[in-house]
Amino acid sequence: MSFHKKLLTAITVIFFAAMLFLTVSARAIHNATLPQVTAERLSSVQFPFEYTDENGNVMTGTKSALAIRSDLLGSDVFVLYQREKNGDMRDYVRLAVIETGEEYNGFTEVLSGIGYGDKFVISTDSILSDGDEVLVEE
Amino acid sequence: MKKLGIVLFIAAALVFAAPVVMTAYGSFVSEGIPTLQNYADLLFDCFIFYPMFWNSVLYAVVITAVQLLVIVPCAFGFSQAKFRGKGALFTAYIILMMMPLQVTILPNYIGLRDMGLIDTRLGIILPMTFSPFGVVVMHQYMKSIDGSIIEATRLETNSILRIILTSVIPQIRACIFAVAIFVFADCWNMLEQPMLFLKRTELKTLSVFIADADKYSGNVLLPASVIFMIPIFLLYLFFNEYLEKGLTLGELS
Repeated sequence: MSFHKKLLTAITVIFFAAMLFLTVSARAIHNATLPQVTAERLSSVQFPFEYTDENGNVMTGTKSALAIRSDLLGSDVFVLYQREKNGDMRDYVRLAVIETGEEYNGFTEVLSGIGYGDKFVISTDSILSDGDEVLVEE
Repeated sequence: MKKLGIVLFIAAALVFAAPVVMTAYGSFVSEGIPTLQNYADLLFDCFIFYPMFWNSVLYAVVITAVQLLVIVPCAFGFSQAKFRGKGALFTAYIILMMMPLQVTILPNYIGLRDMGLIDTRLGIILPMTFSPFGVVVMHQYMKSIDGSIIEATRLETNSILRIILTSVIPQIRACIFAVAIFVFADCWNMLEQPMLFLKRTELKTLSVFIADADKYSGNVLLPASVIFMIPIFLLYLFFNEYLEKGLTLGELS
């Protein structure tokens, strides 16, 4: 085989080997560049409240409300959502503007900004920005 | 006059090469700045690219191999066999070869639908298996082969398969390679059949990916086009000496 043919054979083998390698590992390489996050949903917490009955007595009752752990409110809260990109469903984060209510037992009532079924980020290994693609750890 | 011919040749070569060069250049540039971001967007953020690439390879390789298995005995039959209607049948082959794809694609679709082969790989491979082009080219080439070798082989055996394998194929190697290149290129570039006969994206080919490149985020069209060109380019570089021999020797004799 001439040098020319050997070179072409080598280039062909390298090209298809590279495509095979990328086919198998491109997704893993992409995922390795993404921030890894853990997420959870809002908790349903019983908040105490006071009310006055018909006799004028002050009574204490409880109401169920969606709440977030108060320690998570110290930094930006990011809500997870899914969007299709290039034929795949992928996870992204958006910065949530939360309106809070009462605090009780380490939980703060969430009045708006995060819905009932939404998941929000509780920990991440890197700084997040609005619209970032993330990898959610199960 | 000779200089004018050379200038015209160079001008024509530049005209044909310009789109390829511009594609390759554009794949490494984004907003005027040299970058590999386009390739990163394609290779590390557009994973549907890979199954479509391998589908192109699979269809092209399988169809080429099966077509050659069909074309060689068919062309040999046309060149050596004597039977009534041979001329009319060969004329029908030439007419079929001349028919544009747009004429045959609807009957193809109806046939595949009735066989339940729509949205299957076999629905792409089966119709492409029988190609009149290869038969016509190879038949012309076979007119130039040495008949005495075939006669000598006939003295030793009656097996047509053995005659083809031992005395015909060694003489038509150049033509086989030339036809294989054309068939591979035709299958590699096919667009209408995967678009019409396939519904699932994971069965479609790289040519469909390039046609639909605006659906994908990032500047993936030009890098995909460069990668699309590479196998055909390598194939041509491997077998270019056979291409000229395979298509012209039959005519010269």
